[in-house]
Amino acid sequence: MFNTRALPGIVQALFRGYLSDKDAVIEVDTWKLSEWLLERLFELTTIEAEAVPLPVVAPKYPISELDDSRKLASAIAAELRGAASMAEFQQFQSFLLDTASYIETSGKAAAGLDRQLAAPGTTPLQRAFFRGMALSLQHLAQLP
Amino acid sequence: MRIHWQLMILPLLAAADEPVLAQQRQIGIQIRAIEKAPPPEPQPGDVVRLDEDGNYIFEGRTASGEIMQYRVVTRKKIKPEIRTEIEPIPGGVRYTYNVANGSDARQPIERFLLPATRPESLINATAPPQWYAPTPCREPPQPENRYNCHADVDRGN
Repeated sequence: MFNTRALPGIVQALFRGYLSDKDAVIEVDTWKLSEWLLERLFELTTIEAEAVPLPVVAPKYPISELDDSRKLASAIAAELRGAASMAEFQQFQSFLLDTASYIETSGKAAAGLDRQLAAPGTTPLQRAFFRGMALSLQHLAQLP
Repeated sequence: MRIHWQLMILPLLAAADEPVLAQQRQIGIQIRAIEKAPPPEPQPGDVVRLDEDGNYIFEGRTASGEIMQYRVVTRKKIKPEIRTEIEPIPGGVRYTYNVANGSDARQPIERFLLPATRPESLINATAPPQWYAPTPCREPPQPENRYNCHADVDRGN
């Protein structure tokens, strides 16, 4: 748990498994490996390659950089379009795209739109995303 | 062949027979192409494959022709699930994460890395017992060390 002055969006979180002492040891005399094998070893043991990625809602848009409603409306619209392109949000695709167009064109949140956005979603990612977008819309409504 | 463009900033001295200019060092920019070493080619017998348990197997031959095989256990035998709670607080937003591992996971989750915009602005990061939430770095993340600047929750096994 943490607090921050940033509004939410979808990012890729990385998860890594725990290796026992026995498994953590790579018994490789690297000097014996060919350069090609050595390169593969480095590629396959980077943090990104050694982790399971998962989309997650996290702080993405610093509030201090979204000081006018146009900027925030564009950020929210981009986030809605990004979600619309994900398989997990396929059932909400037209709703997300329509809402993105409206917000970007009008540069504001229609009355009650935050409540509409907060309502849908059944998976943990969907629920967190819609809740986060509703929160961003509430912030948008307070901007000049 | 790959060409690597290198930007070189060279001090250029004016010619000695131009006394006025000779006392002024001027900076010129010169761009030139230099050859970069080609990527290594696999040697006979070099193979990297996944075994039935999801580990990498490196196979190759030493200079003396001896066959070698190494196993690298991957850290991806986990089934992470995450639930996020977001709530407005005065002056900001509180993010709470509930991380679980699937019952069919073959490894415990050791580390959860979250890319954070402005990690220096994260405050009051807390983690459950037996987990460790490092203080995020204070500098803006750079491409080469971006994972040092994540909101990084470590089980601390």
